[in-house]
Amino acid sequence: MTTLTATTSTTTITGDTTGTLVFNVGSGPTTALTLNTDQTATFTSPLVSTGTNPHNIAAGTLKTSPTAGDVEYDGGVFYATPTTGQRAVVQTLAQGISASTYNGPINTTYVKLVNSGTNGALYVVAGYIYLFEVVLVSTVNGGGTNSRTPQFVLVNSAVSGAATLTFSPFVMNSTLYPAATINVAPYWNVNQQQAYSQGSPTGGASGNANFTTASVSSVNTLAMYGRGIFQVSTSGYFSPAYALTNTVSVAYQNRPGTFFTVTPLGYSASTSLTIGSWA
Amino acid sequence: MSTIAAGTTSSAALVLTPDTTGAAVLATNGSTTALTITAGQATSFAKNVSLPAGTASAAPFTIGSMTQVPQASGDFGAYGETSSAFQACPATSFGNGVIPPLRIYRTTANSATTNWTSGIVYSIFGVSCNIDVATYMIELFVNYVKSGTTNTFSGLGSTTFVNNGTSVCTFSGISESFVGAGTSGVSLNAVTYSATVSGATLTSPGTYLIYNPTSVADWQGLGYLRGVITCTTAGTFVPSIRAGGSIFSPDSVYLRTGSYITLRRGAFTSGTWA
Repeated sequence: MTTLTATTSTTTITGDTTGTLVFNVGSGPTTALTLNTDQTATFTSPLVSTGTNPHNIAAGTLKTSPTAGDVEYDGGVFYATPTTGQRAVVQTLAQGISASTYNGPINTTYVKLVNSGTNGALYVVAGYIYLFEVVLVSTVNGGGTNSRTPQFVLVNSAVSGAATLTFSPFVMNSTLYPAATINVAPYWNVNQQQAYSQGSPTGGASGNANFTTASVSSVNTLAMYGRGIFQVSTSGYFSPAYALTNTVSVAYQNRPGTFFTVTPLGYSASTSLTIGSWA
Repeated sequence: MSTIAAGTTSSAALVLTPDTTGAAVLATNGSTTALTITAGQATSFAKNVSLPAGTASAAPFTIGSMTQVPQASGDFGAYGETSSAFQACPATSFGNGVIPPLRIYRTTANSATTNWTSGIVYSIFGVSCNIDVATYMIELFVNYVKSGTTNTFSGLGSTTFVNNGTSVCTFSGISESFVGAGTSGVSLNAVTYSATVSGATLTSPGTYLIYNPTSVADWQGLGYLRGVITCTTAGTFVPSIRAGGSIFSPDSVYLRTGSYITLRRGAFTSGTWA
């Protein structure tokens, strides 16, 4: 590679035949490259082949005192500092969003929440603390007046190698609508807001990390909104899903726009996580 | 520091000014672009890089769109083929993560008061933005206050969220409405799915934002909406409400400060799904 190295006596350019250009510093400085004021850098890198890295920041140690404009990466999450001392996490969302209607549950068998991947299972990484957000909108397509109890489950065994998670208390909000009155006031039927806390669910069937709505007859539409935090102790797949507590005559229909997202907030051995300047 | 500068003649394309500080600086001779990484080449930041302040005509650095999503820890870039979203990879097994490109409009003062007529569409913020054919995550919080207690009203329960711009969009998701009446206060939710929220002449209900428990003289409505908007025809996006009831003179309604809307482009699959 061709190397531009600032030395103690002269600026050297060392050429070779590998075609890579490298900036080196001499002893002392830690900044390899500085662009003069009012000058810009343009990174035009339309990388076209799988397996080729785009721009990359090597993992490093966070500055003791971050200053405005800093962008950092510690091997866990990316950080940006908008004002001096106010370092914050750059959110990198993993998200699954259903683009079309597909069959939801008809009985106690769990069905994936979002239509991403074959099993709707998302890989999560040990050590991370994640913020999750879920919106589920599902309807019964047609008749069926059996009483039913939708049950939302955060982990199941749809994919081998299930993750081990610990959830902080979180809130799910659900709303159920009678078919005859959807979009016609009164448009509420049952609303339930429920805090949930359970440690280390490992996947499986009911009885794990689940949230259960009230049982309502003649339900037409189920809507759920939830937001919370969990920590991963064993890497693996995380399969948000839901089922019914009893069999009904017509399967639920998951609607487009249903989504599940997670954002890694930090990388910590404990559930304590502090980002920003708190006192 | 040592400076590597562009020269002024073809015979002196580079001017090297060494010193003893051990740091290297790139300098141009008139150009505002000091460094360009050629297309098809990657950049690796293993040490610190200091970029200049942006100006009115130039950002500190610009990243071209890529066709390869970030896939190894530390990767970042603008993946532009289908989503035009910035992405980054916090851990290789995590896969690509979307950096939420938020657009937000938030009020910083109460709006002017107005009257509402049932069925008429009113712009919530009095602003519009251009959106193109893509999918967006949307979050909307509104706080309406009825000013005056002379007249009661009814029917606000069918007040809906619509887009009164030229773009055509479909909303999927959930909305919630909370209303306080006097000191008692009630809390209720509303929802719809796949409701078309385009056009002032919308004939079918969109997404309910406000619930009206009864005819009351003193009223404040809080509406929250969260979901996905799919834009099928590019144009202006004007977040608006279609009044489900009337509030008439001498009473009026205004939007309280702190109300906001966010749009985040790039509602596609990211991460590692199986």
